Amino acid sequence: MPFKIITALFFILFYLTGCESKQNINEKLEKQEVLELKGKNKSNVGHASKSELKIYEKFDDLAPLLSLQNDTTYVINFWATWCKPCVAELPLFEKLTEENKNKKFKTILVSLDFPKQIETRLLPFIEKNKLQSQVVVLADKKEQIWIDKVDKNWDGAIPVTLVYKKNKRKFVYGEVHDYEELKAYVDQVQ
Amino acid sequence: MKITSYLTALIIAIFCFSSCQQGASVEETNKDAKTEKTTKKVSGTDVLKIGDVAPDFNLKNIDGSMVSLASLDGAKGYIVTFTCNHCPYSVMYEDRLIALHTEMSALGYPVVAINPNDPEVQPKDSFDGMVERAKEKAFNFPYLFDDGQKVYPQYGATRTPHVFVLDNERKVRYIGAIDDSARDEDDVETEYVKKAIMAIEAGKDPDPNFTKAVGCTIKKKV
Repeated sequence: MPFKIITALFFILFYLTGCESKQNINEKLEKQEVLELKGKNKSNVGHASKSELKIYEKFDDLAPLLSLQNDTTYVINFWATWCKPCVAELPLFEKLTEENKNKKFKTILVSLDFPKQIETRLLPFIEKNKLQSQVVVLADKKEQIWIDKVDKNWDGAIPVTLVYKKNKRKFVYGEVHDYEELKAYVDQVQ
Repeated sequence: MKITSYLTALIIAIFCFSSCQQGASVEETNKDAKTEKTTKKVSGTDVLKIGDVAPDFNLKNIDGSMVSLASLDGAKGYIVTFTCNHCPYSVMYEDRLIALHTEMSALGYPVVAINPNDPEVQPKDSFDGMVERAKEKAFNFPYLFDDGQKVYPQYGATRTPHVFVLDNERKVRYIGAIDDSARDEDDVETEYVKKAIMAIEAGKDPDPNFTKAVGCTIKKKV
């Protein structure tokens, strides 16, 4: 009888430990994929509170950011924390932000996270991953109106990315697969 | 005695192991992001447009039966809806799809839901996952699995949810969103699908016949 209990305990311990380390690995992997690509600069802090996060209730207030006529190159990425491919490609945008931080260059991550999840999901995500790119929230519910205004060929699926400088524009439907691809889009609008 | 003790241990071990796996799959974004591949936008040449005759299909339903549009007795049209388990936008529409089916199938327009995703890319969208989700939500409409991803490209579906309203000749009469407020049901002003069917029933062309909405890309190996 004691043998039975000991064996059972042994197995429980073994699997619990195995389970924990597996989750740790998952977490590490996730962190690596976000943080590793960001380079050495760890001094920047993310948006710590909701008050620092710009929330656009109306698309028309955000719209000017999509067609600014200055010398800066803009990379506008529409994403959400619930969108798996969006999260997967974020490190590429973070790397781009880091590499161009001394240039006339700006990355804006337009989050389509649900208003109810800004504090519970989005802010913790920004904080945890120490995002350096600017994050804004678009809370306008009238999607069928503003999707067309972003790009008339966009069907609404995210991620999508707009890369532009003055009147040179490149709209990328779907995810960016690697850094070279992203850099090529930036080059196209120079 | 020994055998019993080993069996007990084994059962406990299996239990621990499976509960661990469940715990690990709670957060979609925690999974290895490298396995995620999504489709590029479907090229505009081979997709269905308003007025085209939509192809029929024969896909496995959650109850194990095979369902085609032709097999749905008494249908005057169809609300073909590409949707899935994992996408938050699809989830937000689950209750509305159930209500839509209740109301519109009475008029002869059943909802026919199709999961177009490759479960190897998004494991939550497996056939077993569909059966489970349909049971949880008590889906009252067919929920079909596009095994091999052959049907959604013929329709030109690009996201979930993505609706195609067909008439009694399987002609496409409306493409787009279910209504104009995915994120908040209380803010819905226009129920596009319902409005389209009312127009068809009145012998008119739906207006609008094409709308856009935010959604998840259809998950496909690159």
